[in-house]
Amino acid sequence: MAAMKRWRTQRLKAASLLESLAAMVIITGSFAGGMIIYLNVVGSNRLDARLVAERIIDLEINQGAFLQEEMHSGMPTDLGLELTVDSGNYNGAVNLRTVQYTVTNKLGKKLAERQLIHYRPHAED
Amino acid sequence: MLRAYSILHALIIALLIATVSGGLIMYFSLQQKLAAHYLWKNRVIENSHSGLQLIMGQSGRMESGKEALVDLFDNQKDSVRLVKKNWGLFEVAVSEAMAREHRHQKMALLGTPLLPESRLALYLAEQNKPLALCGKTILKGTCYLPRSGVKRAYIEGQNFEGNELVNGEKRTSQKRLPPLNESLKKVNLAYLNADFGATDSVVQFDDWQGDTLRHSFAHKTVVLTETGPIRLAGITLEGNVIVVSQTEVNIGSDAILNDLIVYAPTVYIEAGFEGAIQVFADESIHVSEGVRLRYPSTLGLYKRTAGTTDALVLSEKSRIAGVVFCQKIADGRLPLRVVIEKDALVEGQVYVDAELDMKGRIYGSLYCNKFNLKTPSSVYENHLLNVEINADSLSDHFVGVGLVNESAEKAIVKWLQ
Repeated sequence: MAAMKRWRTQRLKAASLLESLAAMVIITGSFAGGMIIYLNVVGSNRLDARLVAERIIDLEINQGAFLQEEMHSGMPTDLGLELTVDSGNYNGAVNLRTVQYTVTNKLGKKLAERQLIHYRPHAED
Repeated sequence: MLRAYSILHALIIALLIATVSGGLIMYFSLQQKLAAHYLWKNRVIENSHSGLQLIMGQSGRMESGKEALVDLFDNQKDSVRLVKKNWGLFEVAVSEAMAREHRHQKMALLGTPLLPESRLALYLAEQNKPLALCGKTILKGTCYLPRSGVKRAYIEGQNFEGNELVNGEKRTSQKRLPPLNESLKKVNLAYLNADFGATDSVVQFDDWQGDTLRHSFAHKTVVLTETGPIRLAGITLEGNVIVVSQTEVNIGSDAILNDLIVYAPTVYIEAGFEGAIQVFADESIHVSEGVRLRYPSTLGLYKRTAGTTDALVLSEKSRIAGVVFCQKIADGRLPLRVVIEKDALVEGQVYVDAELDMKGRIYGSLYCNKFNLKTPSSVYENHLLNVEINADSLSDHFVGVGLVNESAEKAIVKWLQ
């Protein structure tokens, strides 16, 4: 009982101001680090955009767009798809050509690019 | 007013923030890794496909069996390993793309697409005898016929029942059939002579103890050979496997055979067998009743010895989708007959450099020297009775081989494993 009374009446040996300052520094530092990570994660939208761009190219290839040399996918309006069909022959073969897809964002920055070799039977005709 | 222990509280908050931030870092890092994995994987898949297109486009320039390493776009990032080799009448193309730790392989059996001008129904060599049609005979598609043309006839109590003799364009044939593509012959005769490829893994059939062999086309070809007869029954052979006998191969109805090639002087296929095989012989091939050879199958006879008259027989109710050919390569005067029995069906290309006893159906093209119809009562020359030769019934997607003209055009017959 006596010990309890002593514990209740004893003054704590702590520098509250110093402690508080240290705590503020720790919390500020933690938040700063957290913010950097948060911005990094937000910045990963660029990765998402790149994946969307790759997906658009996949869809175009699956739809065989390069065969008609025109695009017909319902792609997001803030992205641009450019299709380049090499007019020359790949490696000198008349029936082979290079097809290149490039997807850019609205600022014109390249998000994804893909090159393919396409075989055209009866190309000599 | 802040109380004591506030540093403890601050540390707890910091720990929480650190935990959440660490989780986010790990999540972000994993997402990056997965995205990179997906992008590279996608790239090698596309590159392996491009490699296959490259083989198809440069097929004539690529040496069979020789490996080529190609940097597709000259950027040191898109490398493919390409191999093309002969597989019976077809070709096997292997394209393997590599980038970082990723690899992807595409393998396909290549053939020759049939151009509209080569989609003829019948080419009957000029033998100074007209073609006579009886019963419910149907000729549909472009027909190359002797100068004396085509006429109605009455045999076995049956008159021609159709309205038009030929449903299609009629053209005049030459005295000889267009010659069979020589390049196809060379490789297959080598195996018939037991002259195997330098890279083949040759195993004596009797030494092979197994009952199942599935062998990928990505590896060396396994040749199961025997000087004596071979019986393929109760076993499974699939893929990159060649069976060679110097006497005879007998294929049982319970054998599971897919994609492989059989070479022997004589090949006998038992009734009820079903599979996709290429068979090459130089004496005789007998296909029993009800046998079903799936696409792409081949029956090829390079007749170079005197002997059996009925050298290639397709019995009643047998079906083959692919190519059937018979070529005399020793003595042009050798008596030789090919028989396609009643209710037998060939979907694809047929080339018979001999007499043909035709009683069945052909959906596709037929090149033939002469028809020789054998009935219980008589033998008729250049007569067709209750026969259908229909080029229009062949699928537009059918990919065959350049039987009479070597073509640089290639198309995928089937994907391989």
